[in-house]
Amino acid sequence: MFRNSTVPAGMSRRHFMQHMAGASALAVPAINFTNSLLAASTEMKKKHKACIMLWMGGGPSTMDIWDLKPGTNTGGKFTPIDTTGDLQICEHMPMMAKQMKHMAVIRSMSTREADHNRGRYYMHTGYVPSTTVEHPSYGAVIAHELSSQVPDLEIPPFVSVGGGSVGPGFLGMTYAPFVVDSNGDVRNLKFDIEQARLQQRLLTLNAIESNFAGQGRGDEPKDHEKILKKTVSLMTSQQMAAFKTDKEPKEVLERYGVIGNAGRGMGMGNPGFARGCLMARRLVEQGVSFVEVDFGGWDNHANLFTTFENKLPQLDQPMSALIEDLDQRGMLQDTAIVWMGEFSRTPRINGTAGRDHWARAWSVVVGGGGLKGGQAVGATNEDGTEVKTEPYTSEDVMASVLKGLGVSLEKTFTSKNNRPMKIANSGRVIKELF
Amino acid sequence: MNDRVLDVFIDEALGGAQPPDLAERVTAALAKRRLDMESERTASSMPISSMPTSSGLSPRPVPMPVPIVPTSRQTAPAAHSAFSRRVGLAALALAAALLLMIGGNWFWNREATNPSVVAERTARPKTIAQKPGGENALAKQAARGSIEPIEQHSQELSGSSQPGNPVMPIEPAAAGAPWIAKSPPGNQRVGAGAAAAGSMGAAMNNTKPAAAAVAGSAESAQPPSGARLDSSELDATSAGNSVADAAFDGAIPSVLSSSASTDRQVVASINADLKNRWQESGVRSSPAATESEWCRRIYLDCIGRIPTVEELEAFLIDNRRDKRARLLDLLLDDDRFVESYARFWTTLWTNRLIGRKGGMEANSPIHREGLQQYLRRSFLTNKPYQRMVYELLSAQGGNRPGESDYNGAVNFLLAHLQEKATPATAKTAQIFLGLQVQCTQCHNHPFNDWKQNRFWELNAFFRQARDERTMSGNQLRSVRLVDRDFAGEGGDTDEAEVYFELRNGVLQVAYPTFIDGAQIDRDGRVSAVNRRRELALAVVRSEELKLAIVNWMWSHFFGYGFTRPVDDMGPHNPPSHPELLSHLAAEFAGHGYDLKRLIRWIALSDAYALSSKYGAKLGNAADDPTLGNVPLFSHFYLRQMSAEQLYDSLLVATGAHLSQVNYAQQQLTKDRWLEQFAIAFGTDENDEATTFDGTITQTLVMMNGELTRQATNGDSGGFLSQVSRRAERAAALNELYLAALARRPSRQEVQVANSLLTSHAGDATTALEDIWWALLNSNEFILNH
Repeated sequence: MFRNSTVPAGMSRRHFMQHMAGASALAVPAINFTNSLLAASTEMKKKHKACIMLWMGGGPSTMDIWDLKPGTNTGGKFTPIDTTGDLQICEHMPMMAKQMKHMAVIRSMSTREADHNRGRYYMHTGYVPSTTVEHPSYGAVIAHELSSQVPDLEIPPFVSVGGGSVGPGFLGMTYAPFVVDSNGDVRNLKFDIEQARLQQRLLTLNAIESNFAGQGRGDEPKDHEKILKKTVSLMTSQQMAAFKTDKEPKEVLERYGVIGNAGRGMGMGNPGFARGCLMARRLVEQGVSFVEVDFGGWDNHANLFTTFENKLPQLDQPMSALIEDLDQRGMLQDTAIVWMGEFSRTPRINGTAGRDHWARAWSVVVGGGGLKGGQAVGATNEDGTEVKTEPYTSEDVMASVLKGLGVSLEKTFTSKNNRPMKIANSGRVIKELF
Repeated sequence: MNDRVLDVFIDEALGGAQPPDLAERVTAALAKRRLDMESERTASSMPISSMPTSSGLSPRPVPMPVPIVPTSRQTAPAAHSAFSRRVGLAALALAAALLLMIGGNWFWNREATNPSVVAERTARPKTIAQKPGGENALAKQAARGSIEPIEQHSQELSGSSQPGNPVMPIEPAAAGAPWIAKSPPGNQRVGAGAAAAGSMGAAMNNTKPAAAAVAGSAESAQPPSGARLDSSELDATSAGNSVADAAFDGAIPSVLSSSASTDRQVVASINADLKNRWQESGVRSSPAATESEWCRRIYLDCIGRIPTVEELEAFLIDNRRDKRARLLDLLLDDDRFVESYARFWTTLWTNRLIGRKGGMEANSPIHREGLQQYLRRSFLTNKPYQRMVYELLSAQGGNRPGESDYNGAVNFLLAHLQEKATPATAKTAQIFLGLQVQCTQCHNHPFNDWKQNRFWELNAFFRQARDERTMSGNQLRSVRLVDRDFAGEGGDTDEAEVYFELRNGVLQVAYPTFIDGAQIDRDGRVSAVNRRRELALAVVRSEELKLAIVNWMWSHFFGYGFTRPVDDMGPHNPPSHPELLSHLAAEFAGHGYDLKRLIRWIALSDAYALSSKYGAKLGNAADDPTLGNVPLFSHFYLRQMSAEQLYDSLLVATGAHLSQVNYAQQQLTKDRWLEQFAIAFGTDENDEATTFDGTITQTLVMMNGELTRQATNGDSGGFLSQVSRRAERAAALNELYLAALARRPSRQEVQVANSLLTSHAGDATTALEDIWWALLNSNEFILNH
């Protein structure tokens, strides 16, 4: 986020960063996420674009969260409530209701992949799984396109918190997700020898690496060489502090739901997901281009409604905190947020009070990053079984998010077998979002 | 019960290092689980010592037919005697001759004066004198395939006798005499690789008498596909494994096909099929891999770890034509390796059956060790695959050792019974039948003719299954997999049906019907029909079972199967080599579903022995599956070691496993280490991924992880300290390269080592620590190539 030009003359970037860290520690935390000093420093930052994906593994029932159908056979037991945007959402999402002015619910998603693995792949890449090409996921594409905006980023531009995301495909291992636990402990980061000796070891290693990589055995040995370099950069980086959510003030931790705050009726957040959301904000501040935060357990074939009564508050608090936080720091307009799962769940409620896999008519939530919030895009019919407006797909969401981040949709990658691959699989921009 | 060679290595190498933090973490869990294991040892109905192959498992008496040759290593006598078995008087004579020729001292920093680079392969001596006297004594050993590790071999003869080369080149790439530098003069031992001139080809044609004397084919004894399964085949009136086995024996006669080919014929047919495809596709095959590359591969793929230096050298020094078949015999059948073999395949199958996370949580209904124990016993005895699958699907009983009706096999299904056993349905189809049907739970398959009803018809087979839990306080004490009468979802036990919903909400009914359309009695009473047993019989008789296992096994050895993904077979995803696949499947069945035999065929094929180098110059640039092309197997496909292979290789390469004598303890420590790489997807289908995939996470583990830290500590008393105590630096350097990469250092690598030594002011131990670290972190180490 700091471009070189913004660093005061005569001060190394790292040095400058350390000063900034000291300043934030002195700052008196308020209900606001930022104080004036930090706000000022935020102004100083050059805008870099980024994206945060909140991945809901399992396929959440969006018609019980974002597109309720009260009073119908399929509608379930929850009541819709008004929001700060021009739409209603579930009663168990009151904190998000306050943030909906920033977010858009795309209610006319219609896809065809209702298997977890296929759906995960399709929603992450815009392509259906293929036996001949491995497509790059959101994180890899966005890291590939945006990470040059942050030339001195030492940590990987694609971080996945608490889940594995989907790989970089033909863009190569250098755009693979860096997977961390939500507690932010990156294992095995410390080396217990002097830096000079590490350098010597690396020289020795390099002799072996390049020997093997030069023997005509394909890309894998070369990829390994690149990853080694990135790993060493990580091991010696001060930027790793971005993974440490414990450095945040207590109020912030409470607002996200990392720690409880019973007095204010909060603290319902899922601690793992809450930490992940907070870490996402810290990582984006540091210059990471794409952060995926995993929140699983949405495969609710049974007892969906009792599960949701507990689970939705765990979603509501961290997600709303993240949006509010980004907004207060002036980062929201440059940071796209995408909330989605593999698919959604059947409008029909099954015999065990659950819903099964369903991709024909469902919702995805996006906001920030230049996307127009406070609205519902498209609509389903009265019982949620069909999309009654223009149907949108994974490709369309991806194209729209990329456009919002200023990535050219004319971009064409070349897959390993020399096939042209249009970015976002030639998805259409969803015009209501702009 | 470690294999003997490992013991040797272990005793010699690292007296007693144990990963401290891992140990701490598991101590608590261990205390409890060790109790389980102890009680199991006494209570188990199937102690290892009473198994058919028990003789093979008991510690092997070590004969000492010849005088022990002094070596530089002052360690376990048993080890030495094992080594010495192969050392005949002839070898001693050779050693003496060598000593005369090798006079000088040599160090890393001595520039090689002999520029003649002799490739490993061509340098292999045909020159070893075969002394008639020694042959007989050694032939027996050789015929058993027990190739013994030998420190020196006569390869040196060619290199050291070069005129004008008084100083032995220490730079291995510059000479075909790498191991001459390994031990100081005076301690030479020369092995007899010359033993088995008379037994060439024996191992290739090792069709066992049983296979030759077969009558009738397994197929002909089975009902035609599609027929209604006959319950009368079963003696299914009571539960318990012995009865289940009896049912299996009655229904699946253990006869082998008389039409089965010899091993040699099967391998030839693999070679011919692949070669035809290369010609049709206009690609050339890569040249053969070096012998050390092949050796490293086969150790990795058969027993899940790289070879030790001794094991590698034993293979290289062997100059018999059938040395590869012999090495396979050793790895698959020899007493010293059977434990490693079983352990590796147990790990693979545990991960396949219940994932890397299955049973790892406290209070889990899955007893991971129980499943592992079942699998280990199956692989130790090379249980026919058909039988193993039958047992896994029909298993009943308690899930952990100590239960009166303990049956570790139950843990497979116990992991997948939730959600009306839909995961069990999907996993069974995927793992055993190579069919991905999980999406048909909710709708018809988009790409093939699988309809939604077929998923639920398969599911209906699992609906008598119950997991019954025994609590002790809040703690789950044990879980029992039993079959209980199923009243059907409609309450009619006579017609016990399963309901499912079409996408339009219409309710449909399904009865147990196998994928070929064969139905069983709809009665839900266990006394009338045991549905899982019926399913197990149908699965093990199916064509799909053979095709799926051959495809999977092929992908294990080649990195790619005949379909991608390997477990998604069917008309929508035709195999790349259909005739080869079905031929191998038929031969596999004809040979009694013998997994080891299938391994032999695949591993002895020409394709498995090809180099991993490829490209335009070699004429096979197009054969690159990473480009999405159909694999033609015209070169070896480079791939990452799995986390499991890496772990075991690190242990072997460092000797760090020596202190962990207890099998359960080793396994638990390993499982904990492996668990860090597993990520669950948060779905109900128990899917998971691994971060051990060439990313930064993995690289961090390799650079800074506890295992590496320990391995690269020259003062640990382990492998490295052993190596660094050597007087000859060149020998030490060679040994590190051989241990990690199965090759010697190149000229440039020697130079780098020299400058490292200089910068450490001659502190060899420190320099060796750095080199060892670099080797373990290299692409060449972590890739199976």
